[in-house]
Amino acid sequence: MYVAVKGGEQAIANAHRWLADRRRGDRDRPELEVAQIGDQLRLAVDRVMSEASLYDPELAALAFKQASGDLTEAVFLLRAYRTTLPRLAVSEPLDTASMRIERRISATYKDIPGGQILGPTYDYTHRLLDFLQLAGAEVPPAETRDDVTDAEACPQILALLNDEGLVEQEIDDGSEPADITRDPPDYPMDRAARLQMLARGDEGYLLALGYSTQRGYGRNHPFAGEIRLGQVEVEIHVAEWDETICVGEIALSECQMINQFGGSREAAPQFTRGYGLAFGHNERKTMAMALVDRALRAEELGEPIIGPAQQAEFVLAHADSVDAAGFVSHLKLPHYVDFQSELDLLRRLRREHARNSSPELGESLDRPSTEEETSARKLGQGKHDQESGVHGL
Amino acid sequence: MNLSWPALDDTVHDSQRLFRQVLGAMSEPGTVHELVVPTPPAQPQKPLLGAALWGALLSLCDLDTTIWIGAELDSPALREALTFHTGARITDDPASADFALLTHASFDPRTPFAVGSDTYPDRGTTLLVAVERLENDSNGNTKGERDGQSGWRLSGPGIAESRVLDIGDGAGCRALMTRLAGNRASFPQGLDAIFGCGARLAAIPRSTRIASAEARVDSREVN
Amino acid sequence: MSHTSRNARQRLLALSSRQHIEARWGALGALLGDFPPHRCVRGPETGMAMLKGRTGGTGNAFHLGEMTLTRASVALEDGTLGHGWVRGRDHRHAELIALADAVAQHPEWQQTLETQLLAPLAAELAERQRRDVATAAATRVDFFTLVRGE
Repeated sequence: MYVAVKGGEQAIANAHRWLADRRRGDRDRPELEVAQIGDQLRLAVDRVMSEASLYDPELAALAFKQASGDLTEAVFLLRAYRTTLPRLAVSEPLDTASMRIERRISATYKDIPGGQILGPTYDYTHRLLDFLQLAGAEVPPAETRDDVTDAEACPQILALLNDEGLVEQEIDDGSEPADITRDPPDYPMDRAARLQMLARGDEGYLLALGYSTQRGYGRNHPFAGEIRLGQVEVEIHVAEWDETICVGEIALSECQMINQFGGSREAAPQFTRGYGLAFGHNERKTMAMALVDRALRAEELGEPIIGPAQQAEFVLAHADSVDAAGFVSHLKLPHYVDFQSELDLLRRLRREHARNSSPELGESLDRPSTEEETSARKLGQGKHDQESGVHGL
Repeated sequence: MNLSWPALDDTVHDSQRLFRQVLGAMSEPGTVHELVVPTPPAQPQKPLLGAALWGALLSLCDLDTTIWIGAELDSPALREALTFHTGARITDDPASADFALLTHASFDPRTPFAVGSDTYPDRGTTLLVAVERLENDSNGNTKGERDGQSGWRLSGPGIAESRVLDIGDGAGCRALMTRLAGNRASFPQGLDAIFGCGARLAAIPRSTRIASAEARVDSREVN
Repeated sequence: MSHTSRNARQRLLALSSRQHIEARWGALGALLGDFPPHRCVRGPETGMAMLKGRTGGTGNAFHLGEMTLTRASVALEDGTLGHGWVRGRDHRHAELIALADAVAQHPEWQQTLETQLLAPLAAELAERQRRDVATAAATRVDFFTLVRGE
């Protein structure tokens, strides 16, 4: 229960002013531009877009700046802005096979058509702080191989295994997916709705859950079949022309996980799969998402549900950082009356406890309180001498 | 493409303003509101789909809404205009319609519009009804035109005591009001109705009690 | 490469930056002579498109998340309608695409549009994509097997 309280307007206004002042920082240094954030802190921007479930790098950068770099707050800001926009279209399913590749690796095959392309990665760095960046050293431009003018086709690696029937195939049965932004999630939930919830899920949370499956809480023996990052064109169908048109392109990360095989008398053994897809460069998130997606298929694949990552309602209902942060943060709202009633209840229970264990002391505690005591209690300060006596019993 | 069905001049702010007016009409049932909306083109049928209902459609409908259109209002130009301006889907199935566009004359109480469920009462169909007359007892237009037979006495949430709304006197009007009065029995499930006559608009949500105008509020409900 | 199909033109203009289009648009207007005035009949307005992915890249569709999308529809004085859509929130970009669509419907303007706007933009886009390919290619791994002792 919350109490309507008035007052504090000036304090709030001044607190926000201080916040803005802190955000701006030292006025002797130039203010951070939103374009700089989009340019130089792009992985943060990508994470904000992914968890806010809205692809707009400029707005995500603005949210990041406004939130002073607090990712969860930035996600909240962008998610809130999203609610002001009408939905104008629903895209055709994105064709990740036709991605303009920036990075593409496989941990299952060394030699793959199109090759292993490392892209702009933190892998293989030594994780040593680079003091040259502290000194503002010049950064050379990216190396190019100008003899390569056309991208070699990069087929999906799991399609290679598909040819042999070694891995389960993902075939479109034409079903219309649920949309959790329109219809409230209902459990049990099909895979399409689960993937939508995971795609907007908090990266840290998914990472921890994915990690838990590797440590044995619902193990599913994953291999990173393929990870690709790059640009994918977005197509929508427009009624005006009755045609499907391209409206631009977006950066995407995709992870295809190959997992332990199952089989039955009817079906020959084959690898199973987990899938991760996210806005921007979000490789770690897509890997975690693929692990959790696979874990959540336990029931469908007839596996025992023994780990937290396999429990769909638990995993999905707590994946959204806006939900989670909101409910935790609400504890900051005034709970004065709630807490007062808890205090009263606790005092009564302690009196009863004292009376039952020592009738004499119980009576002395039971005497009517003086006005002084009442006002002291309102401040949450009981009569310590007597109550500490009860502790001693 | 036929562009005679006009868009709002300022999509964002006009639709906010119109939404506020529709909200006002809904929260004070039976009050008549004048909407400032670009006028739709002339149509052969009577009553027309007037500016008020066109404005309500432009501000309430988008890609996520489905619209059912009664045969007498239906035309390729209207369908094209709705798709072009709002993106809403046109449906032939009244049970899956978020909004139904019809006239009082053609109202058929057997049409199976959606009434929502107890869990999701908001999933009922909202009727957008083109009427030839739309007056209430505070319009000062009560004498003669409203002879007591064609008015309906409304009471309930949003109404201090009672309010009389006159939407005309045809058999269709009576059938429609009888159906809306039936909302009481199925509450919270039911149909909400918005009436449009030219640029004027009024509404009767499902929480409203409806009686014929000469009756006392508590003694003679319609059904 | 010709961009006479609406589809190809819309794609090219949506993938080009607004600055690049705008830079050539002024010169184009002068060349077209009686460059027609236009009015917007819808938008420009910004909303969202819900994006779908596919499970495993090839399977059932699912909703990935939304992106900002801007659309515009313009009418020339003679009634010719043009439409444009573009990712993001740039109203002018969508309007320019719609204008190009309307202008392209006049056979006498098509050639100028192609040579002055579309062909140069296509060249710029191709160059940008070639550079991306060359940059990615520089990070391609060339494996060589080490000789192992018996």
